Amino acid sequence: MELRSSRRRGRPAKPWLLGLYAWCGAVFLFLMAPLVVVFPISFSSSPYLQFPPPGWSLRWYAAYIDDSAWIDATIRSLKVAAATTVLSTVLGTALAFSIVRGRYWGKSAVNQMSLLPLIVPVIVYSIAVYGLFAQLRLIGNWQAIVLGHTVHAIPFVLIVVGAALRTYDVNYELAAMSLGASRMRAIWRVTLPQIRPALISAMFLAFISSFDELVVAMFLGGSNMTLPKKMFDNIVNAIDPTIAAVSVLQIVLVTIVLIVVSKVGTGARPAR
Amino acid sequence: MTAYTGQMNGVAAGRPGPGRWWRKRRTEALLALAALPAMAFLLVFYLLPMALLLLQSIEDGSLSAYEKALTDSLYVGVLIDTMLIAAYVSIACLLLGYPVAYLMASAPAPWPTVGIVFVLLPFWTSILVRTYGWMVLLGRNGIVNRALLELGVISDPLPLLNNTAGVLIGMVHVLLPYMVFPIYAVMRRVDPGLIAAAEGLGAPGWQIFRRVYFPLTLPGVLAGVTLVYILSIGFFITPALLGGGRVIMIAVLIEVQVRQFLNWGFAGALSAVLLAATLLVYLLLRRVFRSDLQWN
Amino acid sequence: MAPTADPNRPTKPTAGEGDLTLAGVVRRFGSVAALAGIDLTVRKGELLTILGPSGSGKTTLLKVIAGFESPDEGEVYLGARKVTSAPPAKRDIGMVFQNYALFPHMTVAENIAFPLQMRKIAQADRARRIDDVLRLVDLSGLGERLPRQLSGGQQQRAALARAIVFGPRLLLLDEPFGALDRKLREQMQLEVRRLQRQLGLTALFVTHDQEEALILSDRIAVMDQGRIVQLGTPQEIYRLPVNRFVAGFIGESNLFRARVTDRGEAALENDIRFRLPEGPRPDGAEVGLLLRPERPRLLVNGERADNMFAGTVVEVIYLGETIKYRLRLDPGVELVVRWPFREASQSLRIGDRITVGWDRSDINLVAWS
Repeated sequence: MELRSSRRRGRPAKPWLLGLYAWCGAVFLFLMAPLVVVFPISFSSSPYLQFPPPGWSLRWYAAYIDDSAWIDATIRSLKVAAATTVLSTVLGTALAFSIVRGRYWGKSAVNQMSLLPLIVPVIVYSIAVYGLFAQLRLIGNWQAIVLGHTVHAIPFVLIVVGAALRTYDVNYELAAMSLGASRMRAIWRVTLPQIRPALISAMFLAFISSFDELVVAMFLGGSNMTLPKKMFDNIVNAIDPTIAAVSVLQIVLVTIVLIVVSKVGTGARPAR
Repeated sequence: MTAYTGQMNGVAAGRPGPGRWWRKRRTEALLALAALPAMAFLLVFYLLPMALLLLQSIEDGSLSAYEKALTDSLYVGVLIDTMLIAAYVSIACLLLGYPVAYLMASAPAPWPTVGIVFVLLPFWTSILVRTYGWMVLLGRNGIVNRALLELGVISDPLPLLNNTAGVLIGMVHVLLPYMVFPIYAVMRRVDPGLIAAAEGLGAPGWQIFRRVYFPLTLPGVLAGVTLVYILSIGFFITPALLGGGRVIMIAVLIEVQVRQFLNWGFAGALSAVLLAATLLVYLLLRRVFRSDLQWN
Repeated sequence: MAPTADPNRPTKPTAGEGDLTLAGVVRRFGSVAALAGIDLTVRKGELLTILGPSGSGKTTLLKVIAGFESPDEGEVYLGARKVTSAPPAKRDIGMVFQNYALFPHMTVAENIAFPLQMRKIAQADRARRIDDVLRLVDLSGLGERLPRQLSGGQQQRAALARAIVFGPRLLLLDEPFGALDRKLREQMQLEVRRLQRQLGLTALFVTHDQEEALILSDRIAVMDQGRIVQLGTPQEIYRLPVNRFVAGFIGESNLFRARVTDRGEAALENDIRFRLPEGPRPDGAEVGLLLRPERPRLLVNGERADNMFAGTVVEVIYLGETIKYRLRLDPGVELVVRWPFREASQSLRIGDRITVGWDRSDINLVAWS
């Protein structure tokens, strides 16, 4: 657009352009600041929130790894996230096929209902499911948290897989069927491999949405905490900068997974 | 028009049998059934609990909880505060996010990728990590205050934490990507030919922006504002952590009612009010410009 | 010269006779009939082309034959077996799609192996068959490539190989050459024809390109608005079109609207008279007079013909081997002629006055409606 064209024609940068870059630079700084700040704190040798740190140490990382409570919480979060990913991907993919390909009465309602968890405030859902599960004595079970997280992951899967299915050329499936495959086999061997990038993105979204989730886990976990809940308690009680170490590990993990996922690519390719 | 008509020797081409009707409907039936597992799951584990909660709010058939929620000045105040904060956050996100989206959509490489990284990375980072970071930054002894003091810009530390200011900063930080992405998606599709045409017609830059470009990006703006507003009014974590107990948004209030006071009926009523407000805003803005919450 | 094909001549498709038989196939979408009663028999080993414009129903017909759609009425037989309700996988049909639909995540060899795997053919057998078919379509050595690494023509041949490797009973081709450039298209047309003959495959070809149909087919079924309007060899369709639609669709032609008089003539507008050929002439009826552009001749030195007119050249279009002239005949009607290009000195120019003529038998009567 304008920016590119004016650069190409070699005109000197207009003043408002400099202002734009400056403004965006400030916003980028704003976006990254809290992430960047936890790094030095995690290496601080002081147990108080001192900046700049008086000395450097790895004690908080050690504190995290040595503390069974932290590790338990981490493992629990991983378990819950993995189960949520599997469950929501299976349910959500079938749902996506139904909504993208199907033509039946009430389909629009099904679509809207599936997206409801994105709109309804989590706090409302959390206390509601807490009330129900408390009566069923399910509080503290990690499986209960999986149920609560799956409900919120399904819309993500639906959107991502649905988008891929919409741009997918059905002729591949028809070709497979004409060659002797049943519809199910055609989907399994031809369609799913081709929407694999979308499936992987969806699984990634589901995983992260569960792994980072606090409110539902807070209510349903009871004393068996997930990682976010432990971090929350740690912040509220302002105990020590162990949480800084955990934060750094989290950021690094997310960055790695993001890079891996972006290499896999996105979307399906058209027939040809 | 001539046509070849014929009859099968010995077999009349007649009415379709039941087998044929079923076969035609089979695929459609299977597709409808494919939604069933997810629907059943959502019904039981999503709608059911919330229906039960709302039922509880109508204790013994009376709406007293609702009365309290909607008339008691304390609680009405909370609702208004929540709406106001959400509005501030939305405006701030718009002011910060629109130029960033523009940069991502129009600047030469590497800016688009830079923008995406800078916006996505915080987006994917745990909200707790980000909140903790803000606590380090915004405290009285935090980095921001220390820097400003040392630069001589201020003489007393600014109260940026445990108050509305901190909450606003934290919420804008979390919600900014939700503003940037819809606007970016729309900006990418703006036809540069239109801008060139306006330039060719002699319009100065500001006019082009005001009368051509901005209106074209309006759908994205409205989508972003809707999204941010709706998410804001339901926010719990940020006000709870950065508000220091002084910023009572409606979600925080609900949690307190359940956790501390075990006041299920009232919490249910508050939830219903929050839900109603959310759905109202959603439907209203959806009607206004016909967008739903799906963006790329 | 034979008159128009008798539209009332009945055919009785019988299962078992041909490889593919359709009897009374009807398919409706809402109130519109995409297929309004199709009866067709494709004989073993023949290449039959379904020719028609968009909206004629030919795609729906293809889907019904392949099994992607079920007809509302009528039956489909492959050989003597009724397959009307059978899913595509059970129909033993090989299909080449318009955009090939080669699975992009599999190599060419894996693509070709797919139907063999579906039929549970043993690994060793599969490898041999894949090699054989690759050699047949001239793609030997390219088995390990991915589809996107092949040229358009190669992808075409790979799609063809995949469709024939399992020895299907019927080969369906859905406008497969649309994306190829002209030269490649002609090459592929001949390729497919050669392969089909060589393997003795029964093939059904769907296209809107009448030239393609004329080149490739043993027989052509012309479709319009859900019905087969005419079924015959390319020569029959070209020379004896049954009505105005077919006449206009196939080849280029002069088509005049006229009324048959009682004196072996037909009267056009302006009362221009054409002498009609022998044979049944529906007196008083409104008909179309079809005159192919290569039939009139240049009359010189007092030559005479049954139908003879003087006229002026108004347009000259050079087509390489032939020249197309548009003439304005004196009585006030336009005529298009196509004559082979002999020498530059023999070419006419705009404004030249000439006399053209044609025999009575050069005219075909077609139904005007």
